Amino acid sequence: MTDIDDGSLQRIWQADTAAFTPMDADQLQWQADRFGDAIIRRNRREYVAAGLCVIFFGATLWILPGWLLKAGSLLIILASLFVAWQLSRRTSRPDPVAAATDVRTYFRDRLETEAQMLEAIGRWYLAPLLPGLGLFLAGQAIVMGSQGRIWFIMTAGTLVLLFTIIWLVNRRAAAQLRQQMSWTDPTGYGE
Amino acid sequence: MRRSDRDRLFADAMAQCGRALARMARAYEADADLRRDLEQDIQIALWQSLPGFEGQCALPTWVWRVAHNRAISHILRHLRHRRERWVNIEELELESSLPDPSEAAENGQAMMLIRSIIDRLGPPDRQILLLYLEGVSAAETADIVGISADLVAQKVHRFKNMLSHQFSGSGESR
Repeated sequence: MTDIDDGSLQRIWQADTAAFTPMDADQLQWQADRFGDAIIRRNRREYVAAGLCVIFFGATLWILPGWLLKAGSLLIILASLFVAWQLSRRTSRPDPVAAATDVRTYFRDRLETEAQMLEAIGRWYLAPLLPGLGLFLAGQAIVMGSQGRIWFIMTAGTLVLLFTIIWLVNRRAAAQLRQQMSWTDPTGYGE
Repeated sequence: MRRSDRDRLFADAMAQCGRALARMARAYEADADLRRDLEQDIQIALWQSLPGFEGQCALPTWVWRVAHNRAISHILRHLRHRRERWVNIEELELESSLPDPSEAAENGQAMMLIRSIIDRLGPPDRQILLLYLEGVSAAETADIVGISADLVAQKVHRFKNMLSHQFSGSGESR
């Protein structure tokens, strides 16, 4: 067997003098600001969606008759605000200095946070919306009279199916993340 | 940290690790356009992180951590487009053998062999071998990656053993 010494192997590797063009400070500052803007834009989208919900169900709260529709509208408004707050809290701006922690810790923490967020989506995203939507649909069914019962079953069934799909998709994404995380365990490195 | 200090530190980091970062980016991303994005992402992440650098470790250690964290984020983000399966170095089997290390080095086959090994490794082993190839010590690699120096040494030993078998023409990789 031929012995391979560290020096010769490293020389072979380092003989590749690949070009790397450093960015200048102004470019870096501009790109870093753009990154910050992207996060602000993402959060803004979430707030706009929550705002539209508040406006729409604020109007139904004011206009529509019957306590079920009004209570449903109020609960949906509160749930929208709660979901927007949770989204903003759970997807807060990343800490640039954390990127300089050791690789294993960095990824274990990051992937764990993301997996927990996806696993808990039923609790903080879907469940808060259900009571309000349930009351709202029930109120609407009563207003519709004899046709209301079938309409309620079909609409509520569709909603439950949609929420179940969202929940399952997120559970699956969390499971995939957990699979990716396996290499950050000691066994992933063969310890 | 003042802007001028940050700029100076960034320039120092690039002077010390620039070429090595280019090799690292090439080892993580084969596509030229995506590699350019990755190189830019690494520089931005490094520049953003520098206000937190207070000499708690050597500057290259800091640079390597940021760079590998960003590079692994990059490959995880593009994971769904990958067809090949990553393996640990202990699971890797090579098919061809090379005649002689000096000859192989001359015609670039050695580099091809090293690349073919690196390309098939998952993040843990890939980062360890890339740091080894850049001449980073086992202790420093352990500090960057967050594992023991003994484990780093084991992985490097396995890598060298695999190359030795290939160069000697035995065709065995285990």
